[in-house]
Amino acid sequence: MLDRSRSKILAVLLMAVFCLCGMIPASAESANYSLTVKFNTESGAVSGSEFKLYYALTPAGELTGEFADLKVEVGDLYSSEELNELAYTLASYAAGEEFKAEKTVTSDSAGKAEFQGLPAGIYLVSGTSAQIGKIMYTPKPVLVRIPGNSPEGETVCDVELEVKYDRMDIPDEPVSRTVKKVWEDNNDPNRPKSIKVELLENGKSCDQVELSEKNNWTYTWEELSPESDWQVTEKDVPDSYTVKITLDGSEFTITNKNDYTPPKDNSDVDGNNGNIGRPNGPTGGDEPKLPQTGQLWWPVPLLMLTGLTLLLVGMFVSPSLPSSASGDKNDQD
Amino acid sequence: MTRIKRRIIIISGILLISAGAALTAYNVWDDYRASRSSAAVLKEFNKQREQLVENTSDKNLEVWQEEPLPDYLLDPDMPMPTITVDGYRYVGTVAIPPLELELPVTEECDYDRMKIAVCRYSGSVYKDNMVICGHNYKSQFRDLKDLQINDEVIFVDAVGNEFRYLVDEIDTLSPTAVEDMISSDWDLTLFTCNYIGNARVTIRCNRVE
Repeated sequence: MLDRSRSKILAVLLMAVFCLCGMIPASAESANYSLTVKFNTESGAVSGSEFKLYYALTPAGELTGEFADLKVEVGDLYSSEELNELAYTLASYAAGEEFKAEKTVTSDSAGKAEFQGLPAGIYLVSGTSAQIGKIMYTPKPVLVRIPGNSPEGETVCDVELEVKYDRMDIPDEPVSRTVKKVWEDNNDPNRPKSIKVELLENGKSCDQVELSEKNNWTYTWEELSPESDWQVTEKDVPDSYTVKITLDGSEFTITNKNDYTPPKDNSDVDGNNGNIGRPNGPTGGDEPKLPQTGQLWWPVPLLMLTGLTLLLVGMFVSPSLPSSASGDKNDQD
Repeated sequence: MTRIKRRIIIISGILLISAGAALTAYNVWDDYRASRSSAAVLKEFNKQREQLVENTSDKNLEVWQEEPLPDYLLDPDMPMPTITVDGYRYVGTVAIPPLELELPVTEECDYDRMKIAVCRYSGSVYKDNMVICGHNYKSQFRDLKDLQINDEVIFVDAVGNEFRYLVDEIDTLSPTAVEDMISSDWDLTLFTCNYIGNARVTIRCNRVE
């Protein structure tokens, strides 16, 4: 009896251990991997750039840790453009919300920042701008999967990452930054009347503005320092919406998207790939026709043959006809 | 027959022959113009496509995953990417090696576009139901009728994805057979007018891996 009770207790304990193992965060898994970030520009290696490494997504591609609360659409993680946009959005919020980085390393004289002892996961790498002469180099945030895969399909434990960067000539005058709001919600009638946008200078909040129809969902900050890193975040992203932040030159675009489907109307949709313009046949009428794709060749032999026949008749055949013979005689008279 | 009647007949003959010659000259010139326009568009399109493919390739993706899947496999309903040349959007190029043809394909279809290139009439290459129409210019689809079963046709989209097809059937449809043309089970269809213009020479193709 006692043995049976012990067995039950042991089984319960074992189950508890298994359950706990399942709850252990990825950071506690084997940490055998490394990442070397290289920051090289056309002016050479950039030293002194502070790179922060965030454990942003699980290996399965789900936002984790402080990032899990963000209303960000992760997508399928295959398109490089989507990856770059996701990285930029996450980096903006990591700075604005002061997320805790796993590690912070400053690039050395060779432009390298090495991160050791990393568990598997998808990491966000975000670096600060560095100034060389009158040029500002700003590394682009990037998501990197650890461990990686080589083109041959082999696992890469020590991943090397060449960061891309924006290059900007530092002007003597102050600069401006514009933020524009884009809605991808099929004109959802429940769209918020306004949203709040925070401006960050070198990762620190410095201003907050409201965008609405009154200012045409756009705002421009003037007289900004040209030597600072400028970012924006949307505060309190509306329910049912996701947020995406992109930067093009000096213009930020904040896109809010939801799955709202407008009521169907009776518009003529192609059903293949949207509406494709198609010409109707040349004869008009209600019946649809395939386009006329032919050059006008058929009259050519007809014209030529008829013309040649008439020419021959006029020149040679007609004088031999009885009626024409008399006619000719009359003409000669 | 009076001399006047003879002259009228001769002049009529000369006028008809002249009209035939003028129409021939116009058709030859129009074909030449179309071939020049198409070649210019093709050159610019290929240049932009190469730049696009180069810019979208990402070294970091090589360590990201074993073999990046093209977007169209993840979402066949996606609109076909386009490249704009001289104000018209093009979805790719179609090549027919047996006819030594390579032509740009416009995103939409109208008579102005058909003077420059062949046009996507309906469907999407990603959904295996695209239909392409072209004029029967010598530089476009005039020689489609000469294709043989199992001849190769290649379509390359605006981001460099290549799709290979083999000719499976050569058919002739009436000008009113719109549904037959676009609702077929073939992966790719090409069509143009016959010589007289009263029917559509239709090439049905199936995709090969």
